[in-house]
Amino acid sequence: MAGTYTQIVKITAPSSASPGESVSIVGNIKNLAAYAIYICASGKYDDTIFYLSPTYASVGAGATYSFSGSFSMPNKKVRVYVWSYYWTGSEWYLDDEAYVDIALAELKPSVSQFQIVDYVKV
Amino acid sequence: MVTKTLELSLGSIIADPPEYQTGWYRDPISGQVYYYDAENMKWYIYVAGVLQPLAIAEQSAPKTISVMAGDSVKVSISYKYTGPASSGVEEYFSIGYKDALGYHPKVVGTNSRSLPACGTATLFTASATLVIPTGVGENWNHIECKVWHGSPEIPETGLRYLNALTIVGIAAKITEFTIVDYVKV
Repeated sequence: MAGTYTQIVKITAPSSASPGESVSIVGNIKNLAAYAIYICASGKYDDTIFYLSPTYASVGAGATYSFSGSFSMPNKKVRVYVWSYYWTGSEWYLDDEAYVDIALAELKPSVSQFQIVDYVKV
Repeated sequence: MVTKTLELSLGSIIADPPEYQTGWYRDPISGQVYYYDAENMKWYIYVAGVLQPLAIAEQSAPKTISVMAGDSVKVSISYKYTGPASSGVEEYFSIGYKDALGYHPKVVGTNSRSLPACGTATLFTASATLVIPTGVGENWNHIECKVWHGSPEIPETGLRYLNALTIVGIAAKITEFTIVDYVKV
C-alpha cells in the first residue's frame, strides 16, 4: 500500500537474527510525485524507534532512494516497521508504512580462540 | 582434500598453532586424521566421517618458568564466546603431570561466571593464581586451562601447555663442591 507521495517499495532485512546481533535494515522508498520532494524515514522495533540514514534526501520524480539503519536484536522475535515521510514545506508528513518480521535465531553455545595468554610467577 | 603429515610424532595431537595453517593433518603414528581451523585455533578429530572438536588441544609451552613449593603462578586466559546467556560457566586452571593414562591435574583453580548472550564472538578474559604446594612433584610441568559446564552447558574447550614449568628445589642438592685449598699450618 502506497502513501500519497511516497511508497516503501522494499524492506531488506534478515529473516532471523541472534540475540545481540546487529540487524541491518534497508528501506527503498519511491517518490510518487511528479516532482522532486524531500523524503526521510524512521523505523521501530519492539516499541523502540530507530533512525534511518541519511536524515533526509531530495528524491527526483519517480526515483527510489535507499535509507538504512540498524539495531541490536533483542532476545525475542520482532516486527520491524519502516515509515516514510515527505516534507510539506512546514513539517514532515507520515505517508507510508511497511513492516517485516524477524525471527529469533537459536544460538548454540560455542567457544573459539581459546588461549593461555600468559603465565608468570608472582 | 590435501592431507599433511604432522611433524611431531605423538599419541595425541600436539600443535603449535602459529605454525599450522587451516587444513587436514595426519598423525604419522596412529594414522588418525585431524583438521585444524587456524582462524578459531581449534583442532577437530575426524571419526567415522564426522569432524568432532578436540576439547583440549595440546601444544608445547612458549616458555618455561622455574617454580618451587610456595611460589605462586598467575595464569591468564582469553576466549571468545557465541551463544545464549549461560550461568555457572567454569573457568578452570590447573597445573599437573601426564603419564600413559593422560593428564592429572594436581593444583586447580576455578572461576565461576555468567556469560551474557552473545550474537557475535565476544572476547572474555580471566586469570587465577595457583600456589605450588609443599610436596610438589618434579613432573608437575604442565598447565591446562579450559572453560566448561554452565547452564546451558557450553562445550568443553581448552588448551594444555606442555613443559610450561620446571619444578626446582625438591631434592636436597649440593653443587660445585670444591676443596678450595690445603696448606701446612
